[in-house]
Amino acid sequence: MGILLLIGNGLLAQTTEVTGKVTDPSGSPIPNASVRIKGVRGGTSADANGNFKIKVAPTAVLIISGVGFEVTEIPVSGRTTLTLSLKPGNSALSEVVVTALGREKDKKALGYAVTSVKAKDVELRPEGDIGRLLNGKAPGVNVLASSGISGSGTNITIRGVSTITGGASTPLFVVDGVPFDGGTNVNSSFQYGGGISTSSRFLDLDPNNIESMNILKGLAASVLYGEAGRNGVIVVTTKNGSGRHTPKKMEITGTQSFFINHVANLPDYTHRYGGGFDLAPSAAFSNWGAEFTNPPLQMPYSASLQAAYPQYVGKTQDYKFYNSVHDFFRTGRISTSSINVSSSGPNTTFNANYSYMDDQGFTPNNRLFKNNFGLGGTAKLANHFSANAVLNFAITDMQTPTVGANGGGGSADVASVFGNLIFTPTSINLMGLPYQNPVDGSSVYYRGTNDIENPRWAANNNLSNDKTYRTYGTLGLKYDLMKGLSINYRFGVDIYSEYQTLSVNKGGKQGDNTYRTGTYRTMDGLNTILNHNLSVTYATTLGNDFSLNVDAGADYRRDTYNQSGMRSNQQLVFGLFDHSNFISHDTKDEGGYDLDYKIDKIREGIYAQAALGYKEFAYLTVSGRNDWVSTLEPENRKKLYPSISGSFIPTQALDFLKDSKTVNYLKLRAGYATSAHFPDPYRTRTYLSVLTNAYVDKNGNVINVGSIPDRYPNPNLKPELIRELEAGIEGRFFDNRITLDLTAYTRTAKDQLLDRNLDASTGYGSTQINAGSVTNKGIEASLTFTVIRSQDWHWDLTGNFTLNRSKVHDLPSDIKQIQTSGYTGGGPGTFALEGKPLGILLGSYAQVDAKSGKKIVDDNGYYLGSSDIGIIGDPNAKYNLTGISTLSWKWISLRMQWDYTHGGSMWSNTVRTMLARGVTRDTDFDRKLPFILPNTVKQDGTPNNIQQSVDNIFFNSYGFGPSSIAVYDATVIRLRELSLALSLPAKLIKNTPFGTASLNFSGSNLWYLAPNFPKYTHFDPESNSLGVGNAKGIDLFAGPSSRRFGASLRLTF
Amino acid sequence: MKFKTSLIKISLAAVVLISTSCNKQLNPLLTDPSQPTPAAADNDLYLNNLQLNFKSFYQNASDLGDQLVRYETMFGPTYFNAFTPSSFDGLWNTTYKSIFLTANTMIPLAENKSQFLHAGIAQTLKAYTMITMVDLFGDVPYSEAVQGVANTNPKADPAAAVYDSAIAMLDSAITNFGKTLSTGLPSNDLFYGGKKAAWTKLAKTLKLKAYVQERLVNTTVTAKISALLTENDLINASADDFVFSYGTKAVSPDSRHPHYSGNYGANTGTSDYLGTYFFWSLLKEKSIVDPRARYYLYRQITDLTVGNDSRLKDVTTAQFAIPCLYRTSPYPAGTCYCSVSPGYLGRDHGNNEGTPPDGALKTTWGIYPVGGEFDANQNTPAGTDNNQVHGAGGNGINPIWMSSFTYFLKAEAALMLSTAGDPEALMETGISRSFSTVAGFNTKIGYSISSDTNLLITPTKTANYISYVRGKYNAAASTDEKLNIIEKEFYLSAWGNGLEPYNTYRRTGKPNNMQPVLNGNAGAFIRSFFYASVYVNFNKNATQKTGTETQVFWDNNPANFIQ
Repeated sequence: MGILLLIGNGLLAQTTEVTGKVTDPSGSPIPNASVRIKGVRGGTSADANGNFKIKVAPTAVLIISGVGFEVTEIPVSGRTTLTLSLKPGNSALSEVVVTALGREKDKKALGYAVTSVKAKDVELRPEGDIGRLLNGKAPGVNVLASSGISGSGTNITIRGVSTITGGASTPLFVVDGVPFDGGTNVNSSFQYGGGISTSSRFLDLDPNNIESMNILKGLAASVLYGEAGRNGVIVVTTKNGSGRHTPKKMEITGTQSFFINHVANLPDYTHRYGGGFDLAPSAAFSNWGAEFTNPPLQMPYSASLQAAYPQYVGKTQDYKFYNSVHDFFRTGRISTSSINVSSSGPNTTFNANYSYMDDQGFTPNNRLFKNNFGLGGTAKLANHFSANAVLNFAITDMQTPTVGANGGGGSADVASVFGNLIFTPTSINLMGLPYQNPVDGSSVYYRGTNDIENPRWAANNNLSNDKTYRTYGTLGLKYDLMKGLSINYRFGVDIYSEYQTLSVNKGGKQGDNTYRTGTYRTMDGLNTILNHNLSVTYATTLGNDFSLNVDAGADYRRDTYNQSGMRSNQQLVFGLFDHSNFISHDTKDEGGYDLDYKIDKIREGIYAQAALGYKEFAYLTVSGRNDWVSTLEPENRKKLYPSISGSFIPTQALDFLKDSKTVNYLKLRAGYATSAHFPDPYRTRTYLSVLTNAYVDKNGNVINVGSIPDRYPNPNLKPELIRELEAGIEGRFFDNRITLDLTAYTRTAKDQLLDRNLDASTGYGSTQINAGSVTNKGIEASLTFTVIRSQDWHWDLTGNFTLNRSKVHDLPSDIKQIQTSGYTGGGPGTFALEGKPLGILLGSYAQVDAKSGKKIVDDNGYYLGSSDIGIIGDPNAKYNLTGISTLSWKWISLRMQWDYTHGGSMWSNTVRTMLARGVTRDTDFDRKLPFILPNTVKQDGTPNNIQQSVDNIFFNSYGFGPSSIAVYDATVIRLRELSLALSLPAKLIKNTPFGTASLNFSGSNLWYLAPNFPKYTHFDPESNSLGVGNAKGIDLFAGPSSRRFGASLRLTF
Repeated sequence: MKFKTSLIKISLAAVVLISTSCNKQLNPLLTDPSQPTPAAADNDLYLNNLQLNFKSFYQNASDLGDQLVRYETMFGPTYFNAFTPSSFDGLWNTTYKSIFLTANTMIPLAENKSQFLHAGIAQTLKAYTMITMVDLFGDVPYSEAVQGVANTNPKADPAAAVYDSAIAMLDSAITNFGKTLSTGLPSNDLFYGGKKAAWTKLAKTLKLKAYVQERLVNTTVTAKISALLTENDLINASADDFVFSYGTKAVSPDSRHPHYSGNYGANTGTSDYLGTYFFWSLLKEKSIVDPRARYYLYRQITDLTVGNDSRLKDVTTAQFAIPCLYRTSPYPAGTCYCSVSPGYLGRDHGNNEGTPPDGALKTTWGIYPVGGEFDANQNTPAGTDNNQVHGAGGNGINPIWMSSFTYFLKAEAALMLSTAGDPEALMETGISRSFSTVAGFNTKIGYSISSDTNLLITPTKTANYISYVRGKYNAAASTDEKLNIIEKEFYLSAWGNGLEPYNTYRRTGKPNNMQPVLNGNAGAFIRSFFYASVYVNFNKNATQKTGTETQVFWDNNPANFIQ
């Protein structure tokens, strides 16, 4: 944020006004350099062009500092005009980062990697989801959206997934020092669209209210958080919690953004053929019909349409190309308004903000409203106390037409707006025909028996809603006991109430009959996290050469979640959603899971950390934490996990490097750390399962049942221990033109809390045991090259590289394999398999002839499938590469972010269904010719010469053949972000009330290419029908991704 | 300074307090507050669970058999592709996790409490399940099964041994049924309402079923069958039929017959395709029409000829809705294809074409046994609107073992093993039991149907039918031909039960004129099913079958003797 000339508040009587300009050695201005007066409180800042004005005594000494430059003192000596050239400094030496438990530490002393993401990297973006904004910005952090639906869930994983069955590896969010729930409260399995229709709760954060984010990737960084930090920690400091001193007494910042939200990736549909089969036009749900003619063929309206709308009786419609799918989508608008007020006095700071985001998705009836209100302040009291408090309130309200997993056959376990849409035959006039029966409101479509749900009806009558009211904040007290020793107490609270509904009007055609008679499912969840933390910090020097920092404390955290819910069926009056308007009621969701449940969990920990520094070039930190967690039996619930890390700075220690022009800064670091993982509650005790109203016999007797739960309890469960070794290099080279941060790590989680599948013939479906290991090894690198550094021009190129390899090993010999997600049985599903990467895809596969290596066809000329399952792909990317270019000229800055993902497989139901149904230009060839599956052999090994019709081959082999046929390489390159920022020069706005004014044009997901999918499907592999979890690589009509662009205006007063 | 000291003391005390008070405070959080403890277990609740899972098991298994004996259409197009291993997961889960685990848990508890009827029912249902699992899959886990984590990879037992164990379990059940109860009857006996005598007859009849099944490979069964026939404490009368009766509640929970729910319960038309061969057998194979057809099947459209019905008003519509009508039959002359006049629209064996919009056209399940509609030429679709009820409302039955079945088994045993009785007379009783059950069904479930005697089963029609079949039987030149006639009648009587005809077909090869697979390249008939994927994917000792030709132990017939 630009800051203009500001007058300090402690001026002397005898003063002269000094004007000056701060530049680097090349003469380029240093914007926003700080100008203080030695020995006097207050000061000013240079403007964006390095100019400043200050009133000082003629004898004063100015202290000038700028980010990346050495602090320079200069006596005024009676001058009124000064030109100051600052030496590029070793900012690396003075960099301070927020680490675990909110402790600010010198970065040079850290033995582990920390990536900082600044406000400017996430603000003024078209996206309100902080998780998605992190994509590509921090090496080692992997972000995967579940869908392009506004408000849909987001996966974040740091340094790979190290748990086989431990659920989503979402990192711990710590906001203003206290834990913040970033989970996703999915209330139905992926088949029912749970992952996509449910927001991830970090959506409740406002990206425009973020001061900074520090990502603690390794265990050495997060050990003090205990087991909660095992997946990495995202430490968020909000503007309210920052305690930032504003340059003037009060500053008001207003921002208004407006963006367009567009569907990014629609297939190229064929303009040559229409709906039907075997080249005959018909109302088939496939596009293997006749070639379009001029004039077009005439087709009758469907019986169902004629029944609902008599005007269609006896009329015909053109059999021609309709751009139905394209026209179905709309142009969404996103508007964000926010205002921030901050103020500070000598001992106090205050900040308040409010923001409102209205994100209209590109899918009809998909929208997201976000209201964020927050305030915070700090006060330093005279009696050695200091206090800080932050209170945030958020309302997040997301609505989407239901997006259930869809098998591509037009029927679904739950209604899905994309399921019946994407492969609509091209001759269907979707947008030109009515979709709703005017009498009873039911869906009408082009099929005679009306057996397929009209996607427009679905978009208007099947809605999922997820509304959250959330309060979170912190109260901190600090008492400085003596120099270097202080006692801190912090209370943190995060309470939210989440209200989810599924509203399906009667008259639909998807799902089972309970759905079609109308469904109303509501669920209320109350999540609370209360956190008390008491700690002592002590800092001292030992002699001249040593420094010592000690933190020790105790931490108490209680998490509760109470949910109640109801599912009603058989709607009485169309259009009304109230349980009383439904005839029958149930306490289970569609998948048979309880809508009512309670979770209560306490985690208690004590911890200590000591950091010893030697002469500012060698540091050693030892820490440990012991946790007691309520989810395990008393004898197993205690776990101690230590860590040790250190750093060494050769450029400070070795004389020949001290003034090197080539190596400006070098730091070597290494750390070993451990963390733990405790199971979810209630896994150790046995219980009885009861189901009331399981059946009602013909005499009306209600039958209730009791059964033994599917999971075999294990009273001997222990916490698992995760170990990690990391080492890294940080450096600046060639006159600070090159900055490098390189980390290598290996992390092993052994004796996992493993939810192992059991063959049903054991009598049970699963049990949890301590067994199996996952090792993740990887490299994270960030390299910045300053190409141009001149007075007006500045051009930085940054490359972020992430590589992670996982391997499952030491599975007990009695375990064949473990399924972690996906469809059971023939798949495809994600699995843990000994010696293989975690999450590998297994499914039915096309049998291959051992001799020729070619796929085998059956007697009908279709791929011969397998009777078992095998490996069909590895969804884990080989590596991710992000390139960021920032080019600025004076007050204009152009930023571009390109992301490249190499490899990783995806089973795409969207793609295979489009091929099966012949809707894209991929099948635009002459369909009259018979087809033989290429590169195949018959079962006797001779070349395949079995002719089939094109539609049969595509339907039965490319489409709905063995799972392996629909697995594609998901390599993708994407222009993730492009922005043009104009920070108006001071002289342009001199006569306005504005302190600063900036205008930002930005866009996200502007272009992408996934070259290994069939060309005209334009499929975007950045989606995940499995929702938020640790599995990926399966698409079941998750829907297209979103392309957004627009502008933001920011003004300060 | 004093303040400072006390602050330090307080802080230290807080840390100590937190770290020592831990365990006690945490213990109450170990028990799930949303679930009852095992102390709440109750044999009545277990038995209810067992019975409901048993009927699901039966329905699931029966549907598999249906598709192989052409009651319902197998999509195929090959036998290899007809069923994926995951199609059996439900059956596998129900068998072991629900039926076996519940039975094993409750039998000793019930015996301890002298709830011998509870125990006997559990044993009988478990034994039926064991026999059926063998019939479907061959070797299956039994002796090592249901031990929880004590054996995470149960090995399959030889199928014959599982049969023996099942028969022994039926004997234990019979013993239990003979004991005096010291405590009450089950609160819900959904099959026999607590009648011990009926349960005893069932257990003995199931033994008969098992012995007849084994007759090709086990010569000792003849004597055992004779003993059972001499005692004759079997399901001989329809009062003792082993059926599960459904209700009419549509949702929360749907308690209707699943075939009713799936075909009448939806406003999107019927879902099941029934087999054209079965239509043909009822309507065309004999020179007289089987009068049960109007009870068994409901035609949504009575005439498939273009022009007579708005649903088929022009050739384009008709061709699209019923494409097979416009194709040449790929079958040899004399084999039924596509539809059977008048209006019986089904599918041929192994037809895997996509589904045209024929949901309001295809012939569906009638009043018997699913509680659907009686075919009185209504010419209206079966699918209901939201609150409308068609037919009897789904309060049908699962005909798990009917008295007619007993007579057909007796007839087969008399013919093939020369056990007591006249095969022809036994067959005749089987047919008349079937006719009377079907004819009286609407009264039994309280649904009134047409009184037009042209449509109903009448004594005259029954007598004519029986006399026709007897004539054929007497004209049959060989034992094999006679067996074919008996089994064809068994097939026609067993509608609603796909298991017995599937077993009979593999045991005897009868009926011998089953419609071939539509495309001809079907591969080997499914002599046993693939194993469930849950077994193959998660059990180290399981290996999937590579094909469909593996024969069950009681099937020593030649490879490819049936298609």
